[in-house]
Amino acid sequence: MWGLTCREDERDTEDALGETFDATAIEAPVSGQFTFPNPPLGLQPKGFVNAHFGPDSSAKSLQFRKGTTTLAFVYEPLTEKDVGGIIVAVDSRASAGEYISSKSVMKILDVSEHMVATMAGGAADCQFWCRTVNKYCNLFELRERSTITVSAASKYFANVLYGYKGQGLSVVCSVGSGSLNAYGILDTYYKPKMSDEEAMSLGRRAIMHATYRDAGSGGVCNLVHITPTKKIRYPGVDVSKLWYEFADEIGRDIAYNPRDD
Amino acid sequence: MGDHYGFSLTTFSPSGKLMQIEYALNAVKNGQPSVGLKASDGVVLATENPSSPLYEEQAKIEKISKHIGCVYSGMGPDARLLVKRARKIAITYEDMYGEEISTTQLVTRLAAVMQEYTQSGGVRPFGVSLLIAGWDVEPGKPLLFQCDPSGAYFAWKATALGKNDTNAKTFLEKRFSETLELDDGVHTSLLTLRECFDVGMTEDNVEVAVCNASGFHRLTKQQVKDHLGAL
Amino acid sequence: MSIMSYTGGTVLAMAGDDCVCIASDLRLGEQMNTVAVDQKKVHKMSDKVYVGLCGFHSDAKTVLDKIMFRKNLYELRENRSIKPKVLATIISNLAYQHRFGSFFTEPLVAGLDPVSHKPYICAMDTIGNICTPEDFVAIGTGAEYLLGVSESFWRKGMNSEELFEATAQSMLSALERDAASGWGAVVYTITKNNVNIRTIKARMD
Repeated sequence: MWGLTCREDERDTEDALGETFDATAIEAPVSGQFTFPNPPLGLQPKGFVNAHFGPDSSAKSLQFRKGTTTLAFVYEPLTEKDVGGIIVAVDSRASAGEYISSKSVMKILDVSEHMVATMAGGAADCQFWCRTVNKYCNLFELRERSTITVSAASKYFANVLYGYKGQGLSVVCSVGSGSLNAYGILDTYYKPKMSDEEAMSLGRRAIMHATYRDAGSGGVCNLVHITPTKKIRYPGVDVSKLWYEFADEIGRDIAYNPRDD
Repeated sequence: MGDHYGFSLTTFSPSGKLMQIEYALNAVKNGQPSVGLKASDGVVLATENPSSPLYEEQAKIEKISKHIGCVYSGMGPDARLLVKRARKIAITYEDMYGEEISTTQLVTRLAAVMQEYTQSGGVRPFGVSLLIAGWDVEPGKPLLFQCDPSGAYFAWKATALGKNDTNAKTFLEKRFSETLELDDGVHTSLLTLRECFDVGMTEDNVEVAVCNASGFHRLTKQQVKDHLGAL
Repeated sequence: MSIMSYTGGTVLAMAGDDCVCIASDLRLGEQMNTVAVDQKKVHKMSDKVYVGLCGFHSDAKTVLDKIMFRKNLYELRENRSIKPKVLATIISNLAYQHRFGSFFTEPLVAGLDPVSHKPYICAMDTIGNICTPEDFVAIGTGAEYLLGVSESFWRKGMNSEELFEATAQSMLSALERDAASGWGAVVYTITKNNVNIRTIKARMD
């Protein structure tokens, strides 16, 4: 079989499509099916991806986007006014090596009505496969007349990706390069019970500190609050502004007086 | 110190003199006379360079870099070695710093070479004194130095070396003025040189060079002849 | 990641009317990790001559020592303060001496001639190839971005205040796109009468 065919839940199907290279090349897209033609002349997908999009690729703009900070945590409401739930916070930088290719990437992707995924690694891979999972979740919910659980969606996601093992996909649906720094803040300030306000500012602060130390993260902090009933997206907050506010808060002297030597 | 091995032949006499250097200076004193003079807008070097119908001419005034040149009194072969070293010093400096060596730098470095030959084993001091004329592009002024076999060097407004140098210097003391311009400087230099001459001066036994903002130039025979005619 | 971008950092120099500006960022990193945010890459050589050193920071420090040694010796021997062009030649020779095992640092020289006050800017590669444009030069991880952005900020015949503005704005713009540089910047404005040093606030991510 030429290439791989991706369908909602089953990939090993005797499909009339994709039997010859020419047939796939001229085929009009059919809804619900997605085919990946292999690289020509028997090249291995992983080798092809590494050679052209990997870190040694001569074209910077073709290198896969890397460098990210994303985080999420669960908390209980502190008072009755608070709702609690999950805070998901991310930065917005896309970089290829030291080149910042975008300052405003939305790294929180919708998976279903009440579910999000954060992305790190290859942006195209993340976006495409989140769309696939989203499609699966919608179909699941229509079919089963109940909402899909997070673990079920994750399981599906993992299974799909496993099918592409060894072919050079780059999908990391969590954390990222700056996450170690974010963990430091979360470990220090996290409490199981917090007000919504407190939880959101903790999320933002952890992202801010990560962007300060990690050159691969930066831009704005996008934040989603998932409550038991709904999902609230908050507009991005400039992390640099957050840093200056923080410096002001702790009374840190940010003046740098260079010596003339 | 140099790469020579052995014991220096230049050793102190009980009275504290280095006789080899004294003898070297005698070699200079017996050499053909040279005159150097600083005008307001350049430097003049002049020397006796006797010709013969039998041998080819050999220049005694040599260019070292664009704005530096020198003349010697004393032993020709020794001088030629020093000129070779001076040119090497100048060109190495230019490679290293991207601009022409200043006259003072060249003189100090060349004097160090001459000093080395007073303290190294297996060598003797140079039998020459040099007059080095230069024009420093920055700040744009003429310079005249004398370099001795001992490695000592002196800055002069005008001076003479070689045979009858005392007479010549006395003459210069009377005739030298700081306001002289280059053409008058050539004139005065030739008059001074005449003091040391036993025979008549012609364009065939006098060599003259000038150094100013445009660089170091030797005068042609015709130019020397014209100047001699105006004496 | 190349050794030239291991520690990160960027330097920019611009020439104006009887003045030059030289600016550097303040970041020192280890690959993507930011280690220090107070590391300027511009160093004083004499009253009106400065060098910037980018690339691998350890090599930059060693090269700075070697430059200082040669420059001090020159000034003592010649009893005059060094000209920017002479300094550039010294550094170029120093760099080329290591042609077959070079330092991973690119030097940049900016300053005014101590006598004529003529502006001089130049940059060189790791083995000492000098390039002397009349408008601006940049080195380091953000050099490409700087050269592009400076193209639109630079004007002929700028006075020192305009030149500072152009340099600072170019620097800030370039830092927006270079992950390996930033976290603040310093700008030295060198004029006939004085050297003005200003820190500029930049993004801290």
